[in-house]
Amino acid sequence: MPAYSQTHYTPRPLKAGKDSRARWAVRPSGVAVVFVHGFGGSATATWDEFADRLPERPECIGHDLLFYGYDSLTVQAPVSAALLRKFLHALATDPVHSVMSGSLSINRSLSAAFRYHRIVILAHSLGAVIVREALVQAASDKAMRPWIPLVRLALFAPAHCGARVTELAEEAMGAFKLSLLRLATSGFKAYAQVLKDLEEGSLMLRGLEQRTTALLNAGLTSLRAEVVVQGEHDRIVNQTVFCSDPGPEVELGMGHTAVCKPSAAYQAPIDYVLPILTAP
Amino acid sequence: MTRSQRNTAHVDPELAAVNLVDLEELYYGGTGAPRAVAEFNRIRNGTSRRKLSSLLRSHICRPIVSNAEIELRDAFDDLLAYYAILEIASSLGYVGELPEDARRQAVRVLGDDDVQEYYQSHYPLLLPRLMFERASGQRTFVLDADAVDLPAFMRFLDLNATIEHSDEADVFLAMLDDYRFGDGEELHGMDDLLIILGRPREFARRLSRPEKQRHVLDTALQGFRVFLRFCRGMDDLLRGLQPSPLQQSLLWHHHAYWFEIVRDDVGAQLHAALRQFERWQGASTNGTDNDHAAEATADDPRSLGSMHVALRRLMSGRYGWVLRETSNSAGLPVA
Repeated sequence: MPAYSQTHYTPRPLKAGKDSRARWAVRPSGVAVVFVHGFGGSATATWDEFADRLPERPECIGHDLLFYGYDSLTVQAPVSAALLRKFLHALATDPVHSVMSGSLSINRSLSAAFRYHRIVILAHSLGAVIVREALVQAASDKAMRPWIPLVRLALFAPAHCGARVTELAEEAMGAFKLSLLRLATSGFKAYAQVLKDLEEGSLMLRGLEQRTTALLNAGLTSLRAEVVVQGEHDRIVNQTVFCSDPGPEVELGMGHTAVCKPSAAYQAPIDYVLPILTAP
Repeated sequence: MTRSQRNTAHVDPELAAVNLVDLEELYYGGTGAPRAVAEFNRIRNGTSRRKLSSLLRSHICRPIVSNAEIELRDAFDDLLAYYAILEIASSLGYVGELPEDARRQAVRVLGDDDVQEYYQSHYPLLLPRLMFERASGQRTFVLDADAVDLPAFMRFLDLNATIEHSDEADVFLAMLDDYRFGDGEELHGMDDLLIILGRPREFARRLSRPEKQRHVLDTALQGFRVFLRFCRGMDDLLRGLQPSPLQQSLLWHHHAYWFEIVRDDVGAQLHAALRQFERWQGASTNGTDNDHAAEATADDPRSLGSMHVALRRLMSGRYGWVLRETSNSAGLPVA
């Protein structure tokens, strides 16, 4: 007699990106939730208890949870975006063969023709830039464009309007955060490419906004974020509204990194995305 | 491997069987464990001239220097880690009883005198011993379902992956285990790492060096950072498991070896180095050079001070106490 409810299989590696992980639902609902971390983050740690807390909501027990990792420190944002675009394409067009079979140990009785009816992407900080760039790249490709309307975006502390790169580089040092001025330029050297992309008004960010605007005007409305969440005390990203995104939901007392980390006592990140995850 | 199981799991039998397959794939098939079993079989059926007592000796008695021996010992460590995970999963009711051939293999390997000497005397580990008792029918303990926090076990598996799949952490942990690595003509080990930890400027310079330019000590420092992050995550997880002290204790014991090495072998030096680093960091951040600056950061979950506190808790052994006590007592909980 079952005595506790197991909604997802054992966490497994995902053969995409870097150190990506998957929690496959025992009874799939046809919704995939893709998590994309930010600068210096990691596939699962950035999101803390998201994977534990989401299945506690009855509406989410069948959602596949995919934690996508990438080298956020040394690889240029457009390159990371291209790799993510490839993963999203596989997820949208051939999930059973191209994504699940390399990760799941069993066949969940899904036919090869199974397709997700919604792909919700949650992105933090630099992750928002990577995701937006990946979607813009996909939208420019005839073979990929058809799955763009399946996507819904929820962004936490997005860096799509630029970031204070010194502070961001310090965040990447994590516990060993130091004044980079004391380190001369050594701290920057390893991360120079990515940080350049994230400077306010950078060539990449300006191009991203222009191309997104053009695609939105052409009717690809899923490129507009459904929700943007900012921390009141975030001093790292520029909080200007991007294109026609909704105005930010502001989390009082929260900073740049805590805003996407739910816990038993802090359910707000889940509450913000729940309407997107459960919409018909 | 046969799949007939008695269902002692808290989930339905089909799901329990899938859970076992998953754990086998992740902690057995995808590791050096099969190689350890193959070597064990060769030695015990006489087709290998190697002596198991020599292969699994204490490195204090005779250092381990040959690559072949290092790789085989790593394989045995993988096998013991697999049995440890199986013991945790069995205790939580995440899997059912082991299939008969897997059970027999566990009894044969874990009950072998030389293997027991390795995991009970040279490098003491509690979970493989409990697995042996379970596989040999001396112990059938399964936690009550309402005392199991399943999401915490899932998060534990994710957390494990961050350290088990990190090449940098591998180098750091090997140094903790007294291994030394060649870099040019010199051999480097934990003593060199501790010196660098006491020099924040050098530490920071090495930490920010691009991957292609890294020396072995730079890699070990990156590994140290991964290890600290892991410790912070473990401590968070274990603190959240206070309502389920046996599960808390089971999960701690999976990594007890490392926490105890840190405490016994490098604890004092590591604490001194981290304190010095915190003071320097506090001065760097606030323009003042005092202990209070460092202490102020202890509430920030990502701060070094906070990680230091987490490391102290993990090293103290308090999380492991419950399982150790219950497994030593005559009144061992049995289902």
